[in-house]
Amino acid sequence: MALGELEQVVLFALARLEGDEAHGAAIAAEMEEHLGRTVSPGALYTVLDRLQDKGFVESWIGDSTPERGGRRRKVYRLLPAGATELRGWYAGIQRIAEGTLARLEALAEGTS
Amino acid sequence: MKMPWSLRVARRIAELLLPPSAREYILGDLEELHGLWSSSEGRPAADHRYLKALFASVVAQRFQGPRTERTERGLPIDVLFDLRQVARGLRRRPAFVIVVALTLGAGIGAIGAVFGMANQLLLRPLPGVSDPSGGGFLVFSSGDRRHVGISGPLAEDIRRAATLLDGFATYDYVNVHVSRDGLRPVDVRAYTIWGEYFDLLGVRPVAGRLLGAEETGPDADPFVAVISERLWETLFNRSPDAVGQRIRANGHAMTVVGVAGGGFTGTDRSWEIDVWVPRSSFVPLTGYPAERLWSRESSLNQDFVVRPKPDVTFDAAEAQLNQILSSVMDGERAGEVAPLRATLHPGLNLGPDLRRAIYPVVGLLAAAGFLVLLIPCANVANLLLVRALQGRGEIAVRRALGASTGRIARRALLESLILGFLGTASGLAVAWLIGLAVRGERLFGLPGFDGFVVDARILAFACAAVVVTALLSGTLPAVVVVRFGARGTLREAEIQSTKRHSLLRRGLSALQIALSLTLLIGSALLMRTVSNLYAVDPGVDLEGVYIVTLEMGVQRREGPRLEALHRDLLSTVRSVPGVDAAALASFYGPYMGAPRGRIALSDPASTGPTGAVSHWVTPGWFELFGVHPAAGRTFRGSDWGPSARPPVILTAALANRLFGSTEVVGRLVHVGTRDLEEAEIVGVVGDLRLVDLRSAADEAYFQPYPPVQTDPIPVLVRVSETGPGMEDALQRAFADVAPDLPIPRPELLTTRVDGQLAEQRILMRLLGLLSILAVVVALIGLYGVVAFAAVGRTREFAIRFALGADGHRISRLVLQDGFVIVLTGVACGLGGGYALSRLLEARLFGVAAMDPLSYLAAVLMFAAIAGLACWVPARAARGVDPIQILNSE
Repeated sequence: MALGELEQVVLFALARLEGDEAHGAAIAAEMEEHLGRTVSPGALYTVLDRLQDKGFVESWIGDSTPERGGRRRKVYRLLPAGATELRGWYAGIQRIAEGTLARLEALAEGTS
Repeated sequence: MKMPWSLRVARRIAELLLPPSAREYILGDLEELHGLWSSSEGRPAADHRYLKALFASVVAQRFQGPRTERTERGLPIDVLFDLRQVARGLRRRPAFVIVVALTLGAGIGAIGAVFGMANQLLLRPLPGVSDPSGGGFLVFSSGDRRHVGISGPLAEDIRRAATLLDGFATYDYVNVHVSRDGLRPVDVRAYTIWGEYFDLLGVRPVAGRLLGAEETGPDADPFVAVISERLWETLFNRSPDAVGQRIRANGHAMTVVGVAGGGFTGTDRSWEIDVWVPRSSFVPLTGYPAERLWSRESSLNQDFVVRPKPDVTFDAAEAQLNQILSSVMDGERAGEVAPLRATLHPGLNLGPDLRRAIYPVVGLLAAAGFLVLLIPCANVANLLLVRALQGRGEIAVRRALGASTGRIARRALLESLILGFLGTASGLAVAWLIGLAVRGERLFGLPGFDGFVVDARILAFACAAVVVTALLSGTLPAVVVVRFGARGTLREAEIQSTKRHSLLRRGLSALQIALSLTLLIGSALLMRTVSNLYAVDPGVDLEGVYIVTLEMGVQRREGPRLEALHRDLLSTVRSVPGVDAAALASFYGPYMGAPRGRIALSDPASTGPTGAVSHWVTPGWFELFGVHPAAGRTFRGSDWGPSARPPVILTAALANRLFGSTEVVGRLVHVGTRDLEEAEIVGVVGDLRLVDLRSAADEAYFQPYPPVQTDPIPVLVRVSETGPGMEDALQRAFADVAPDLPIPRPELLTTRVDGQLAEQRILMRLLGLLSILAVVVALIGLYGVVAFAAVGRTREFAIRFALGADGHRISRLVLQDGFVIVLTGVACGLGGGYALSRLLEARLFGVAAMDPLSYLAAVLMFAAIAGLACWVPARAARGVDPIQILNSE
């Protein structure tokens, strides 16, 4: 089952977060910190719902906090099926990227 | 962290739009992120990012969210479900739907009719003209004279110097009799043109070619013509062989070089042009002196159209034209008191004079129409509110079952949309009916309105009407429903607490009553006016009398030839079967202007001449109209021979003014237009109204033919039976006598009279229709307000019933509510009616502005129907079940 680009990134972010921290705001913050990319919570939940339908993640309702205006958070966890899919996808990326780093750098600097 | 109000409002809207399953989490995440951004980037940046992320979240959830299930065609299933539920609910309440549809239809119909008329008369593009917005009309003014003529050579100088213009042309109007060998002449309007007329208008030929600029100047061949498609059909049956053929225009042979395509009939909507000829044709067609036509000293009454170059604005083009004027004027117009000024009016769809006349009126009608639309929308909002509150139990149940606020509001808005659609459909029908009332009448002097025609523009108007009425009438009930939904509690205290809204609704209802009563009073006054006008005795018998006005134009006869024509016309027409009498009149005949002459007592030096209406008539004129002398006699045969002292007949009104009496037979007077000659009064006839039925009896005198002005020749014919057959026979008879003159269709004098009364008749019909619409809307509004108030007092009624009050007592309480509103509305309506009657005063006839009968009739009629509107909710209030109401508390 193919993973879209945003789906991959969201799964990786989920893999970095633990416990109650893996909610929409935290995932968005991880993506912005590591990729410099802004994704709205609305778009995130669209992707997370899709991943949940595929059986790659599961969710539960967490506690409300004052920082959230008293609203509860929806927390997500990476399931084994999701981890397997992501690992396989990442392995494939690594295989195809193997040995190309030096050439990529040269192309990027215009020296090749 | 407290957010600014703008973000709070945005968040509130997003709350309505986000799906319930994700709303709480998304908004919580956003608030958390807002806190993080504020710490790292500062408050303003955080607010900005918050807003962007809020919007992006809504878009992502609404259009990309997998939870929004869609049909195969991509329509959201939940919206379709709501639509079906709403439609089912409306089907169960046909009476409510009909009332709302009619109410909205009244308002939409009124504004639709105004828009339909404006669309047909003003907005429809000029046929045959491409890109009318790229061209414009050029008008020259001088001082306070808004429209002055300039000479042909000056126009040509301007044309050559105006480098910012792509096209510059001038045109002048000429009346032309056109004929072709073997065919009857027809009377048409022509333009003599000079410059790039057809090019700049973008007119294309449908046969042959059109006249270019070089073919229209002083050295051009004057005997060439371009004709319209209409004339092509009349003269040549649209045969392509028409090009190169000859026609006769005012007796001169002209070659047809082409036919203007696209149905082009000129740029003036007031009349249609069928022939275009070069400016040099003006001389042979009218007899105008050639040296004057091309002279710098003469100012011609010509109009101008121009087209700026594609990258040039109208302002820039106008500025250049004024610069050119300044520089050429020193020699051309040295000594003028005020300099010439050029003004460009962009757009070719409507000329500047018509714009000036029509725009304020159409603007006023549109504003009135919009006001008329607002009131039914407020009415319907009231009705929907009543229904929403009556259905509050259902809302509570839906809320308990998990329906979101947004979903409940969406259903309320969907209902308004459906009702808006139905209202628009009925509104188009109402507009069509209003259009029927003024169909064929000439409004603003423009060609007859053809009734309400649905085209793309009207459909766009209809779609806008649906949306606007849905928003206007559905927003308040949706907001109230949402408030109920958000609170989750439904108490009658909510209804009672909105005293401010209650006052607003009552005030609005009283206003509607006042407006409708105002219109009703105006209608009553106009109805009596029209009735009085038709009852006016013109003093002559008009029934069965035709008039045919022959215009000789360039084929003018004089002296013995003219006398022969008069004789032949009368003798030939009298021999047509069915003709009882025939006579000639002067000027254009009755009810088409008033030829003025002067009359004085026998010593003009001492008393001085005064003005009076002058008529010249042939033998049998008085007998044709059934006019008998009140004193003396009418004309006899010998009166047309040479005599030392010509005879004159006065009307009673003139005799009384001059002599204070009608016993004046045998007295001498001096009559004439310029030079007065002595004449003997041989008779006095009773009061006649041959100029304007609306004015007092004519002060007029009659003299035997021939008149001073010999062209046109109005021929009066009394027939035993009118109809197309008789009209054909008369035309053939005239054609036999004068084959070189165009013979217009015979017109009944009663039709002319109808034309004079057209303004009052149109006003009466329009005002009558509007008042009916306004009354219907006002009474529905009254019902809504009284019903709403009754619903709000349900608990009070229940308690009263429980305490022993009877049904009649409860009804009286409800009626009192309505009575106050009606009384207020009627009082204001009487004032409004008086104000309207003062505006209409100039158009009233035989009825005073404060006519008590009209006012009383309007008030009584209104009060009776208003009573009915209040009685229905009053009766319903009697059916309140006190046990059920008090148990539900």
